[in-house]
Amino acid sequence: MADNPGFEANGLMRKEDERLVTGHGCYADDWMIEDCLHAHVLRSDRAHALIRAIERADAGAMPGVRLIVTGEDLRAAGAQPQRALHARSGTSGQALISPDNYPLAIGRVRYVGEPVALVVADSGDAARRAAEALLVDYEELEPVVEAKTALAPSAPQLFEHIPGNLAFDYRCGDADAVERAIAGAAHVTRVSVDSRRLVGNPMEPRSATIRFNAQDGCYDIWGPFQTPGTVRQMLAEAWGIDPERVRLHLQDVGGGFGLRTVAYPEYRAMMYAARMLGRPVRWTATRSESFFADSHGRAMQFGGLLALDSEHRFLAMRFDVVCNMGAFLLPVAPHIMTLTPERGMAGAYRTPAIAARFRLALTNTAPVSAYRGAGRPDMAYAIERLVDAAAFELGIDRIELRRRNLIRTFPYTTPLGYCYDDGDLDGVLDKALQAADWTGFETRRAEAARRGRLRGIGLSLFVEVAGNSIAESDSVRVCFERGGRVILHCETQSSGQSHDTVFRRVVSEALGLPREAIEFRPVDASRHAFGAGSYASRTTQVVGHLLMGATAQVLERARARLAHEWSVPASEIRLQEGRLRHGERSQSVLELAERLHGALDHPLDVRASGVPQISFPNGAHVAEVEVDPDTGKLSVCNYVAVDDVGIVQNHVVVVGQVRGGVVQGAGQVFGEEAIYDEGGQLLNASFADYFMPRAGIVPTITVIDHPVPCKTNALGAKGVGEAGVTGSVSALMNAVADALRPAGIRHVDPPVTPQKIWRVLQDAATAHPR
Amino acid sequence: MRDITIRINGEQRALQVDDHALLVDLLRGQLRLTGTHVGCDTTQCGCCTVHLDGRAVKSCTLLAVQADGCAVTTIEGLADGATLHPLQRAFSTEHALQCGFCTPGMIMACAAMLAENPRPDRAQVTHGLEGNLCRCTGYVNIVDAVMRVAHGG
Repeated sequence: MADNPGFEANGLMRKEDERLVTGHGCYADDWMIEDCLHAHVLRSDRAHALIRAIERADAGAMPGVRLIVTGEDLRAAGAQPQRALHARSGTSGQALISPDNYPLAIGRVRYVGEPVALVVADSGDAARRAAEALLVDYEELEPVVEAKTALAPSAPQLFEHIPGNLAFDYRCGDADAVERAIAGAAHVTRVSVDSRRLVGNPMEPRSATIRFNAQDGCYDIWGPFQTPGTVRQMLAEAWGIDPERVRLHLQDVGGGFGLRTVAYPEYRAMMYAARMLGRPVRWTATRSESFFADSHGRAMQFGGLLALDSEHRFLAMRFDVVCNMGAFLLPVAPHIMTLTPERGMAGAYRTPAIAARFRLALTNTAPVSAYRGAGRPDMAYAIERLVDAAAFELGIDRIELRRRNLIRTFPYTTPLGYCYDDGDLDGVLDKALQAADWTGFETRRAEAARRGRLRGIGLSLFVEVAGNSIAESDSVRVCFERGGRVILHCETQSSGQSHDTVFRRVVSEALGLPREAIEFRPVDASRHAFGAGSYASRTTQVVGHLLMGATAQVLERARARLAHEWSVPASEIRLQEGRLRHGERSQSVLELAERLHGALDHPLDVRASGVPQISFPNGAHVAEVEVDPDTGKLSVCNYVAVDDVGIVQNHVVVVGQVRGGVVQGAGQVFGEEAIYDEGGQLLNASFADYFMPRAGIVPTITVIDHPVPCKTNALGAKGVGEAGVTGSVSALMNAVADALRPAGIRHVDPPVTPQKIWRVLQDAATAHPR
Repeated sequence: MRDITIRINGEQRALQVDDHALLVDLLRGQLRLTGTHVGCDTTQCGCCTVHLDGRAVKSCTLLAVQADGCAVTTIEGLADGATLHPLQRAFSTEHALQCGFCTPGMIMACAAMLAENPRPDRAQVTHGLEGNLCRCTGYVNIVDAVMRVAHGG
């Protein structure tokens, strides 16, 4: 474990650690809010049905029941539908068509788990019993579950205004150039990869408490959010009120991974209940409920094509992607399914012509949105499988093929128009191959074979986008508080990423102040600074950049002030060892700030805002696996991750982020998949049935930094939050493919469960008996 | 309703509980000890792990009445006054927690593991963690933290 010189004064690594290891964290369900009523959500148990009637008489009379609300009630009360955020049309000019998503179903249900009614009672038990007594008269409709089936001509239609269930047909790149390249190619490789639907499952089940204050017409909402600013706006929009009237309160969030960016229907319905009842309303999901209630992830199917010339240089890549969006488009989902993969579509390679088509299909399943990686792991998986497959087909070494096509000149603008500011792809690759002892692998494969095991090694060399945002701008505010404290207002929210630790150190170094004097306040009810929140691996680079700008302004003002007081030019005043100095005179920023407090705005208070810039973290991950052909069991023998995340702010945090991401990717590879039957029932909606990665799934994960400073932000940082998963899905799948290839298997999709591996080996042995 | 007596974090308490109340609900509700968390409903995740008479148990799968006459230690009772338990300290210094939601249950499970086997190897620690899920850390740092406490260094 590398030394981290930045520990807190009490010897702990992070400020929040003390409360979290002693059980004094405050997650959404921990808040002690007086006088709460309890809500239970009645959810559809049909995948597709008309609602003929909801009979509530018996339920309304049950003990403790305070309110029963349906979709019709909410619409009559002025509930606004939620729609997907605007997405720019691609080269085809097709516009996105979004369904209207009301908080509770109106007239029709379109997925199992869709909220149908909200029951509020004195206790959770009373609410649940009353919900069970509600009689919903459904008239079943035929459901469609698979995206490709939903797009087919005879499929059941989910929405009249979305023909063919095709919500968005997005094309990018130059399809003609790709066609010409294919026509002149010496070789064309094709793969189909299927990144199956996952359930994110952060460990904290979702919970919210909502209170309406009649005096000021404001809602107080306690819940887990990654993007407080955006969620507040969406909740306000849901009721046609100003976001100023929605205050979010949160301290600790038990994992986010993209799932906490959604302004979920439960919150929107509970706002009404809280207003009607004049008391706080609390709802906490069970884990099984979370399987339906939280947004799902992945569910992307790629058809990929790589065209090469006779020297094995890449001429063109083309992707045909079908995305299963579920029954509704969550606000940022179309963006994630199209723009995020598009930005990383060139990967690490110089390919002159690239084109893609994304078809976003609606089906009778739970809505899909961001889940750690949000299109990046899927895109990298498609690219890296293509490259490995091409290498195998051409009989050329996998590394050699990559080297021959690697991007080496920066800045590099991809054929899709995105600019990689800087990188060293040879460098990350060299480091990874060395650390993983790539050249010694065949010896290990032979040794494993003597033990009756199939051993494989796989590489993922990837470039991904970080920092993309749906918001126009981001801002931070740096304030000085009496008593010698600096307050950083950044409307973001860590769900474990150690923002407090990273940003207090950034500001401490920039202003020459001790970290103990700095307080990081991620969410403030009075909203000093709008922030787009934490997702897309953006927070360090975006917020860090703004803090650098803000602290520079603080210093400029401080110098100007002292220059006036000392009658010297400001340019001669230097910050050195924590003090602003000129000759014998010196003052720390805190001392100056303390003197300047008055009745008006503090002269050193600064707000910095800007348009966030994207960055392109990249890496080389190598996985080494073994398969036991008798049982199909897969194990990971070694895993090396080399990542260029720009200037490293905190190596320990980086290691933690990468390891966490690697294991989430391993989950997808080993067994995670949300399984729907043909009738649209989610079959594995619990931890007893849905595979979750446990300790030992990847026993060793070596994380190595290869920093190439980012040129698009003042910290030189590139996002790290998703690097682990973007690399691991493809590295592990390429390793599995390498292990199974000698047995005659060309391709297998995740999850590579023991049953699946055993089955493909059996089938291959039957087809090619030895 | 039943009258029970439980020694919670060293303090003897006489309590009235519903017959069907889960131990975790008693802890989080009536006793306001919200450090113990509910992460699932099928006994898989381990976020609710506490000690019952020194043994690690999943409090979501015990009735409160089953703890009658027993000593229960929750995460809030693990430290010795202001002095953190070595595992609590090591989890921080080894960055074995990120969001912290699984952490109380993880630490309680590890504490019981070490009480039973003070010097495990990595494989034993890994096996001992199989009842606890973590979505953030990838587990390697958690194993490191336990090994650090067990073997120093």
